Amino acid sequence: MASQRTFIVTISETYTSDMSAAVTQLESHGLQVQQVLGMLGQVIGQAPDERVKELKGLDCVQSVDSEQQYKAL
Amino acid sequence: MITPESQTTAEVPGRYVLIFDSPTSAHPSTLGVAALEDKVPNLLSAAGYGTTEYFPRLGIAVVDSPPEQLDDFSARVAGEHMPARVVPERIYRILAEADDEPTSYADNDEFTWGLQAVQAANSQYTGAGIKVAVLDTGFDTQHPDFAGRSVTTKSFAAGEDAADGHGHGTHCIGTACGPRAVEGGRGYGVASGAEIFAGKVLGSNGSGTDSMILAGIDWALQNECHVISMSLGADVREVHPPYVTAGRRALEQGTLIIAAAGNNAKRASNDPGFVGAPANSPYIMAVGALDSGLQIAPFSARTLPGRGGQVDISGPGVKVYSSWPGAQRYNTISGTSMATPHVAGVAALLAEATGYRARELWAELVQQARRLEQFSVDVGAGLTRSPEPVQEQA
Repeated sequence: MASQRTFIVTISETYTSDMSAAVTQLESHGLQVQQVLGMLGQVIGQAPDERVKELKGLDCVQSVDSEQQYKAL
Repeated sequence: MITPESQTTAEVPGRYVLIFDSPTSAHPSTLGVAALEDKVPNLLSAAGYGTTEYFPRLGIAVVDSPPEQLDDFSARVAGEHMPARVVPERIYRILAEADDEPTSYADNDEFTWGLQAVQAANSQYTGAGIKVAVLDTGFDTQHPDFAGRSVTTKSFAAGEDAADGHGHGTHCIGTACGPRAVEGGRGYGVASGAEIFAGKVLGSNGSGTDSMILAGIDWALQNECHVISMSLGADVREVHPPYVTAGRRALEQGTLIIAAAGNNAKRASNDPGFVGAPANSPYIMAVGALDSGLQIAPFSARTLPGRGGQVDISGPGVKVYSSWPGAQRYNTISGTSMATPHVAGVAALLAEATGYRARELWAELVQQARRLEQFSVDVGAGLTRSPEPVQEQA
């Protein structure tokens, strides 16, 4: 099985009013959804790298970005 | 620039300025163009004033008047339920001398240098009614200085509760929302009356991920927090798209996100560093750090070229005394992390004083900041500063 990475999927403005529909679409295109951030219109989940291009092509998706690390400054 | 010559000698005897508007920006006037063009001149004439110095686009008139005639005028506008203020006309002159604001500060028995510098020490505003979220390493809810305060906590760090196992979060919350008066010690909190939301988005090891931080922002928005303070970052030049959207959507929901610019400068070695993520996002306010002489801190990151990459404002960030977990109770540390909650606290005071939220609050913070004779790429608009005291209405 291909290794999975965590991605932040930002949902397009026109689709944020129906996040559950967006989540269903993302799941059917390979995203294992971990968190749905309803206020921000973002979904966090895991997917193999080879599915990212497919996820980025969905109408409901504004961007797909790899998770980064941060530290106290 | 012009300025009142002095508060006691600059008034013009018998001359007054009549302002047809609400007294505070928190309650904007409902006066429309028709009222300003038609109703106000009629009121002025009825009160015995001329209208040659009435400016309808401004809703402002300048009149000659004995005091008793002002009383009659005030009664007439009150009867019409029209918001109006009366202030003496003043003489203005070219500003010839610099102001005498201090250029350096020091902790004293009453207040930290930071509280003095941002003019919060004696502010009449405390952030009452304002919700401030500090997304960091958690909070020591047992700290005696916060007894009786409204504190809501939540952990987004897997396997960890919201307690602060690091210290950084309790320190930042202390600066933003801690007390201004401490028995046997000095006050250190800017918005001492704000409601505290402590989101643990960094583990006790001091690090966290997008998943944790974005979940924390979402939680703060669910709780309708007005200000989000994030003393965290990554030393990457690239703007991270999730925070562009998060910052913009937060503003749309009435919330201002304020983040530390970064500590990656080594100015002694001529390396000014750069603003990292997420502070380099265009809808997140980036905060630089100043020392007690109001000089840019040697570690404080410089503006990154590109939209959103600028340092927007600065705050006290060197040798900052604040709360610390456990028996230690207090600690003095440095970082753009320490500057950020100073700005967040001031944002809470301004939000209380003006009623402004989101983009308007951002603009107010910038407008209110004290300009410094340093590069704007380092200090942005300058030193964050609390709202002015309310002036007595005539």
